[in-house]
Amino acid sequence: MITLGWVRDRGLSRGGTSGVVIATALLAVVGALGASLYLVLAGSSSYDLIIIFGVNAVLVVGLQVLVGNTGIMSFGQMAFVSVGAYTAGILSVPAAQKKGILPHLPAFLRDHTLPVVPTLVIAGLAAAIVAVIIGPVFMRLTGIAAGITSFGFLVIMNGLIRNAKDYTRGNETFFGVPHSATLPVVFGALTAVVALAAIIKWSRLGLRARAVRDDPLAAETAGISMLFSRLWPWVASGFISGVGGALFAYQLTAFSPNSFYLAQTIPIVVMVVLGGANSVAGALVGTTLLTAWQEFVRNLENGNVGPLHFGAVRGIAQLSIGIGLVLLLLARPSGAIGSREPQLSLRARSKKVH
Amino acid sequence: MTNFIQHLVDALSVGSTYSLLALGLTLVFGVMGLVNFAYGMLIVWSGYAIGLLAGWHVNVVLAVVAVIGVATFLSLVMGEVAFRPFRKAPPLTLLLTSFGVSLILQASVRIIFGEGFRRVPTPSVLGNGLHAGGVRISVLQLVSVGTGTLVVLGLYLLLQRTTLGLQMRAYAEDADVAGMMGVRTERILTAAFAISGVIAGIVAMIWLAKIGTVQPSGDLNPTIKAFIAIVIGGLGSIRGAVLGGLILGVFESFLVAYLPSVLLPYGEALAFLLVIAVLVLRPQGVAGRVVELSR
Amino acid sequence: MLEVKGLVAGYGKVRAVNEVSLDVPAGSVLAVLGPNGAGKTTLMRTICGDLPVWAGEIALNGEDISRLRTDERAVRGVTLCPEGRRILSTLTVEENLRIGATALLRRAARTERHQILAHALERAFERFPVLKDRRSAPGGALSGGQQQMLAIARALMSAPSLLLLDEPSLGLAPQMIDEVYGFLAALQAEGLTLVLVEESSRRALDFADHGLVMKNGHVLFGGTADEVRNDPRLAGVFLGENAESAL
Repeated sequence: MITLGWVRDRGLSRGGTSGVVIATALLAVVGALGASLYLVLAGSSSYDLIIIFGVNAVLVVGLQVLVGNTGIMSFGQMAFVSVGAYTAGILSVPAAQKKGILPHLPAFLRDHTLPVVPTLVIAGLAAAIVAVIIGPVFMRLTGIAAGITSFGFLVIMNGLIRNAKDYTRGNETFFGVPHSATLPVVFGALTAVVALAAIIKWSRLGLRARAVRDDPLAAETAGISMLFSRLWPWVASGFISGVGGALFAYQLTAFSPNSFYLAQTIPIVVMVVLGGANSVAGALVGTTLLTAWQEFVRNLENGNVGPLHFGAVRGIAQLSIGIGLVLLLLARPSGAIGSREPQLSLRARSKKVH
Repeated sequence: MTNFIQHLVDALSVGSTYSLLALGLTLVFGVMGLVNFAYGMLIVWSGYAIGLLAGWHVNVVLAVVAVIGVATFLSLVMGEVAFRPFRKAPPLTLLLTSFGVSLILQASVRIIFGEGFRRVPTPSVLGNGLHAGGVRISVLQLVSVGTGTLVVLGLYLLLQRTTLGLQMRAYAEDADVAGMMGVRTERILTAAFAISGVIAGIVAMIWLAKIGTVQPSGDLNPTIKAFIAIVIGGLGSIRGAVLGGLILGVFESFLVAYLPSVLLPYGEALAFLLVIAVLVLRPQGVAGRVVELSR
Repeated sequence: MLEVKGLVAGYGKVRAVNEVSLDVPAGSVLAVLGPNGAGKTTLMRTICGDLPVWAGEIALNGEDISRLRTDERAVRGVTLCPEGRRILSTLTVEENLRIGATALLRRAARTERHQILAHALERAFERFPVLKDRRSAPGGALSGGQQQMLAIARALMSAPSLLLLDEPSLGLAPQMIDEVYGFLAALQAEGLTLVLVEESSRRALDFADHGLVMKNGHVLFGGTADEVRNDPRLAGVFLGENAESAL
């Protein structure tokens, strides 16, 4: 008999790992199928929205892997996203156009173009390498200090990108990226990323990290290194966010350093908190809720609600998200589904053996 | 040498403004552990208030009082409505709440005044300058250093010499004990947000006079400067805020003057490198008051 | 003086005090005893208002104070000298005492406050001369014994009618404990009503008029100090504790 239930991330039992992984990945697939069905019913005008949801979901899972496993909130995820996006851009602009767009690129980069899947992996790895480099500094801090440092990381990365003109075109718009953010690419990546997050969460590394999160002193006494246990979720978070950055580049096709700053950070943070920062499934729930809400108020701002039309008012979306965030933190700081995860379990009918 | 003195004058002027920004932020942090990201929106709102008051041809002295009033009122509303319910929440929840509050205040600016820049009119006297041996000091620079000194002095006297100040310091260290001893704890938060608002109103006028324009997203820059300053100086410390602001001012002014031009675009990034170095190597800040950062 | 009826309180979702009732006549001393985790500190914090009342009633001289804020209870004369002393370490000794006088000054007319404060400070320094010598030192710089003196002196600055003391002898050297109990005896002689929480039973019971023994949030038994001292159940309460800590 197959049952679908919930497990919490408290307690150190590792039982049912595969069940959680399968269930969480299934959730992403069901989401994708549901989205496709919706597309068929609603027509292609909603296609972009589904893609935006998928890309957002990857970015949110990227942050959740960090927050859920370490308790550290990062306001610098867009730094990883920008590394992933520019890496993907450099690798995937068609070679013929690249000479015009990035004339000073080293020859081996200029003359070659990679297909989607290797590009996504390399973009993720590039961001992961950045994470490995700065991790030993960042992972010493927690709470407010970590929050400020992560934001500093974003500012520094933004400065680097603005000035690495040969690779990024600096402040000018980077364009010519093929529109490869198709349904199979985005949701294939999302499913893989969700599975990765679930595997990390229920692995020995994840359990160690969460032991440090819940009681750093006791964990250190038990011989768990605080720095290393936090470093792995941080690097995984960098990798996933880098992949998300590549998808983001495929979706936008043209972007600049301004596309990866505080205005893009806040929705990602809100989505993580909204769904439940301690749950991978919560990341997907939070993304769904906020993406839907953003779409609704965006129409409202443009003056359309279903058949109704009225004058456009700028700022309503932002206002509603601000009020929503404050109320959410007041009423349910642990998010929509808290720290629960869906779990599939295969249970044999109990037979009495004599 | 003249150049050096000129840079020092500029650094002092910029630094005193940063110190003021940091003071308003650090006071609330000291009392309730809130790093208030919405603080910069007080400055943006003050900017629009100045624009309106100038449009109505209000007398300058009256306008100054009115701008401080607007910032104080907003700060109080923010504290009482949005932050008071969170007074026992962990610092990270408080920080996230302040993100929400800043979105609300920014969105209301957009809805009421629309997108885009607005000119902030300033009295023309401020642009005048004094010249002494090749060094130029503008009236605005004198005003900002003078105001900075007065505010720091006033705040110091308030905290050290008055009963309210004593109660605020007691509450900052142990809110429960302050209550057991009979301190009206609910008034301490009100007082902290009021003082923070007064300081925001004062610094807004100086900041905006230097920039000349205001826009809905104009809060980010002053907020970031204040963040950097309080982290360098040490979160929650008054002395730290003053020192941190001055250090940031010196750092920026001399960076512009003496950095090779290749590195110039990295100004802000370098300031954050300084911040991260302070956080990692000396989490209690330059002023050295130990504040528990990890919770 | 103090009447507590069916009090229920705790932290978060944990009930730490369950249906506790007690009665402290004016001028008497009550010792609340019990092993670690019995709910003694929660009881004290709930009476002074630091923790909310979940159910039950706390009455002071017939007035229900269970809905009042901590500072309002302090103004009515209930002051807690908290566990671990909780000296304000960044404030000077004198500033600690001035904070302690807040409730006293709120009872006084605005014009008289200056004089009342000066008088109260003078009295505290008479009672604890060691604090006078260190009046400008930060509270954090004092020794453990001096900090306990300061904590008691600070609580007395409010001229309380009911003083709650949570483990005043914790972590002190034996001769310091003698000194602390000497002060408490002097306060008792002045007619102050005291509620004293201690883990070790003998010393507190020798000093108190009445005793109350708690375990796991409940009152096990109570009575006059002699009755409690001679109750055969007393040994069992702490024997159980010893057995647990021996594990």
